[in-house]
Amino acid sequence: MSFLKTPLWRSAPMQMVQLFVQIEAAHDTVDELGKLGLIQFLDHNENVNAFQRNFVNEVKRCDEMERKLKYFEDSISKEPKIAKLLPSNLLTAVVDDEVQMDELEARFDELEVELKQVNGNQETLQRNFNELIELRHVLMKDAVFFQENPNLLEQPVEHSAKAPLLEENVDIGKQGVKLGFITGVMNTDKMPQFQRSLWRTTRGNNYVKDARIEEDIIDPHTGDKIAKTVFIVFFQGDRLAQKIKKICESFGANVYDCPDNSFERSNLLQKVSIRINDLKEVLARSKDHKKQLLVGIVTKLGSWKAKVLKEKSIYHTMNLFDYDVGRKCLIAKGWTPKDKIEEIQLALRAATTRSGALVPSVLSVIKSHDNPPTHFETNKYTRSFQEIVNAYGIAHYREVNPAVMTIVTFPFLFGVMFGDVGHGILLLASSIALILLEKKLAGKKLNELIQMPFDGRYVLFLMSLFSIYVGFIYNECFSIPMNIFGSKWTLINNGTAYDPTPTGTYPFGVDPVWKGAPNELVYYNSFKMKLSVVFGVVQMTLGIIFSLFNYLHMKGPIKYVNIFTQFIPQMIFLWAIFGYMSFLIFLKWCVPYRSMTPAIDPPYILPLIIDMFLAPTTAPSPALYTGQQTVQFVLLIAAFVSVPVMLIPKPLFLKKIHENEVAAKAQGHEEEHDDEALYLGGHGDGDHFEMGEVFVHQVIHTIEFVLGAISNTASYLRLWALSLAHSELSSVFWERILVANLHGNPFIAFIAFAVWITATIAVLLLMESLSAFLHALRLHWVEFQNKFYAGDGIRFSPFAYSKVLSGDDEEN
Amino acid sequence: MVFFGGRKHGGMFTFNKDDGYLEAILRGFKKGILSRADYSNICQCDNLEDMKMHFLSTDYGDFLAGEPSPLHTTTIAEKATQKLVNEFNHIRNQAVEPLSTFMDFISYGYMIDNVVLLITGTLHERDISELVDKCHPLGLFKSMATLSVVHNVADLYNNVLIDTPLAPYVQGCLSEEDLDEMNIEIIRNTLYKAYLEDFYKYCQYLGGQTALIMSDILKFEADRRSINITINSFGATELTKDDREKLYPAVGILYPEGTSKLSKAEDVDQVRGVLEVYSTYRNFLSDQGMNSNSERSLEDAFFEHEVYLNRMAFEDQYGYGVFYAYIKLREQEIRNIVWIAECISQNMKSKMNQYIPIF
Repeated sequence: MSFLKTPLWRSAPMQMVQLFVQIEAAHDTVDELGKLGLIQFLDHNENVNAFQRNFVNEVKRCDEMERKLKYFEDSISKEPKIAKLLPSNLLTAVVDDEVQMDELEARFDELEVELKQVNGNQETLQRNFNELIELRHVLMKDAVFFQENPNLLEQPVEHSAKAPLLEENVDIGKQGVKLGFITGVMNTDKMPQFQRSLWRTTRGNNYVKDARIEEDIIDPHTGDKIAKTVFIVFFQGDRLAQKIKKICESFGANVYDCPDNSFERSNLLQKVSIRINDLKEVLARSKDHKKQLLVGIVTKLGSWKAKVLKEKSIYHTMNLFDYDVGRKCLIAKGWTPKDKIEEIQLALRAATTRSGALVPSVLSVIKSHDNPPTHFETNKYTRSFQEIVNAYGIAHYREVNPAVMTIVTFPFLFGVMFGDVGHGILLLASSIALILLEKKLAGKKLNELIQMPFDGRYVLFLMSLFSIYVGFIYNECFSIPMNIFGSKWTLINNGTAYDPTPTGTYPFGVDPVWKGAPNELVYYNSFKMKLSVVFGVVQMTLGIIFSLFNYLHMKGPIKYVNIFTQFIPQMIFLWAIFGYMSFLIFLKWCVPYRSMTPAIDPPYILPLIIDMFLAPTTAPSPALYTGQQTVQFVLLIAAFVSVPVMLIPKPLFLKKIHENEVAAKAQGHEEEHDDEALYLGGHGDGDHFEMGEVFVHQVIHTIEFVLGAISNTASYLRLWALSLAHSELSSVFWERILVANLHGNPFIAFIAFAVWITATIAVLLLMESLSAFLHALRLHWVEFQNKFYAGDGIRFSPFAYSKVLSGDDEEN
Repeated sequence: MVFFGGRKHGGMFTFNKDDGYLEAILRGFKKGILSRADYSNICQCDNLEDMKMHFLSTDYGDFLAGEPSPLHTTTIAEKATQKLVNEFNHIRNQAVEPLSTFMDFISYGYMIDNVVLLITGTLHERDISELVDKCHPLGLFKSMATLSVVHNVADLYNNVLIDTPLAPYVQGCLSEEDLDEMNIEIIRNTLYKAYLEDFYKYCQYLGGQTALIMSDILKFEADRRSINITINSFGATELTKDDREKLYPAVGILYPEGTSKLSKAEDVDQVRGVLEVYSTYRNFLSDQGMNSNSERSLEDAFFEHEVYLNRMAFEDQYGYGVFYAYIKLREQEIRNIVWIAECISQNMKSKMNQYIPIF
């Protein structure tokens, strides 16, 4: 049984180790261990606040550096061209170990100052530039406006002797009126409020005209584009001027002086245009300078970021250590896989030489009564299956890992529900595509909908293989039967009926003639239902056998208690009822009742089993084999007897074991703790033993098993139900959508095909496969794993750079 | 009955349908309010950077991450307020009637403060944009900036407040007088009186648990204002007793008997005499005696009682009291944080424990 030796079968044996590291060597040691990623440090200072730990200042420095890096990144991401160069994946970043943090810090400081200066300069330039641009717009828009309303600004009629006396009062509205005006630019979205405020303050004595600036103005501070509007307000009187100015100010408007007459305006416009051109050049130059600076940063950013993150994680880890001031060393405690201790020691030695510390670091193996973390060594193929199990619960330390069986049974049960060659092939194609894209997609952040199938690509691969295989057994390809070997049923009576005696057995799977036959459903249902029960019994038996492996791995008398009061009666109970039922199923399949003499109808199995319970004394008829009644009676008795065996002895034994332990402890015999053995249940732990509690616990367990055996077997019928639904659905799609529309009009046929393929992909391949997946998941989590799996372990999460850099570590 | 428009909420029957989600979110937010353990940890900090470290492990998270060292108390206050405002807006934006109106009512109080702040600022010739920055972000309204041109109360109403929800509250204090310090205080209190009365009526209109919880809180709020007005007016003689009585909100435990007695009070002793009858307020003034920092202690007593009332609101279901209470508790928390931060930065560790614990 070499598969029992695989690292997947039981979690790796763990060892608590203690490291004594000289303070000088600590940083390098943690660095080396981070590269290895094999040790999970425990917190020595749980009661110490985050800011009172030993290396908090270093962490703060790293935080500060991170902030600066963030500032660089923000600046870079504002330049779309350079932003493309931003590192997407820190794992691949080359980190220069030689660079000291102090140097980096100084470097960052310089760069930050420089960048801030450049940004500041650019902001000032941009602001000046904006003002000029705005002024230009003001001048242009105002010019247009004044042209349209030429008399608005005209000087009031002169009061001179030359003026004609009589005509003077013709236009009364203009007499003595000196309209002042204020013009400026403000954000477009504030305009309505601005106008309303003006109207309220001046009591309606104003005239506002506005014109949207076509181009957006870049905000110098944030770099966003803002829509702006030129406005011009006419009013009368100095007091209003004050008020309006204040309102402009409070709305954040830029007010510009606009000359009264058109000559000065055009003059100014020219000047402004010249200055804009000058400024454009300066601005472009400053932008170039900034770009150069940023390009210089962006090439290094990835490695800097990785470096700072690493440094920070190192100090975070060192904060977990105990600082022995007297001996100037750090004491670390942590879990590591037993077989990796060598590697860790090598790393420690390397770190000592690297740091030049005088005293080498010491690794000592210590005993711990804590529950060690669970660690499975997985590869990319087994990882996704392990994740399926982990999603239910992390295995208890050294517990049998259901993932080993899940690798085969999960895709198989999926295939039973999703059996169809055509759909299987489509699924296979997509899974192969995902596997081929593995190198390209790995490590990237994908769309949620793609990420899931990508992570489970190997599960998907096996699932599709099994559904093709089961599809051949069901003989269905897009619900169409495949006549590969030639049907063994021959038509007689001019093709109106089949010869009741076939010429032989169809070599593989179901004979194609069953598809579309009037009794197709009866045939398939009977077949699939029985298959489901048989698979169920087999898988549950497997679960109970796994529990035996768990018991064998325990230490002391509890091992035998469990085997004799749990494993054996459970096995007897399951097999006396459902094992016997499976036996009858096979018997019925093997015996040709109809060709017996005299020919009899095959007996129904379900009434037979019910009779076995309800009327054990009456002889079954027809009898399937001789001595059937005796066998059934014995099985029934065995099943009934096994229930109290499951229920009563175990709590009594546990009490006894506990008493012995207490007595042994009193005499000073400490039981030896085997750290590779399995300690489950925890009944006898410590000095506390509550008989009532243990007994209630056992009652619950027994009821769960006995009732579970029945309900779980029934639950496996979902295999039949799902596969029935699948094949019915696909044949409905095929017949009603595609075949029904294939006659005549090619256009309709084309549409029908499109609808069919869409329905096939959306409903069958996506939704149906998801539902089959979930049901397979349920069968594993509930029906299979509740027979043996505790799933209350803690996951081994070592300190590793790969985790820190990929951002998996939530803490940092 | 004042007609508020909108609709009442259906009490227990439809509460969860309309507001259950938001209440759940809010109760989640409430979980993030600093605990006593957090406070005792924060109090051990030696500088503000240490505080920042500790905040990482609380609900505040890395809200200070982008801030360059050295930190300032004002930055912490600003960022913490910003967080509160974000939470408020998150809930306000998803709220439906009548919760949305209820939450608007919460923000009116801040609007009044902002109006007063701006007027005071412009009286002292401060830069308006600077003042706007100082305003509480919950009480921002659009025409706020126009306040700078206001010179008298009528102007204030006609130019600015008429567009805001505060407009109906101003009617009580319309006058052509120029604005001065005294006036502003009167405006503030008149507005607040009208606001409290209106809010109170609205809560009664909503009925159910909202009315139950909010009436306790608002009554206390009103009484606090009445008492404060009375005590503060002792120094300033310009306020006649009649005017003073006009400023007392017409809700509260003290109203009407207590307030009418308060209006006749001449000094702190008489106030104490008035409050003696009311079991809730009996201890607020009495045990401090006449010592010099009695003002400060009265404030503290008020805050403590406020926190108590708001905390009690969370013991209740199917009402909007929690929404109000959460904002107020967070506000108190920010005051606490600022107090501790000030103590740390000014090295006044002995006074640090004067914060008011919430949970």
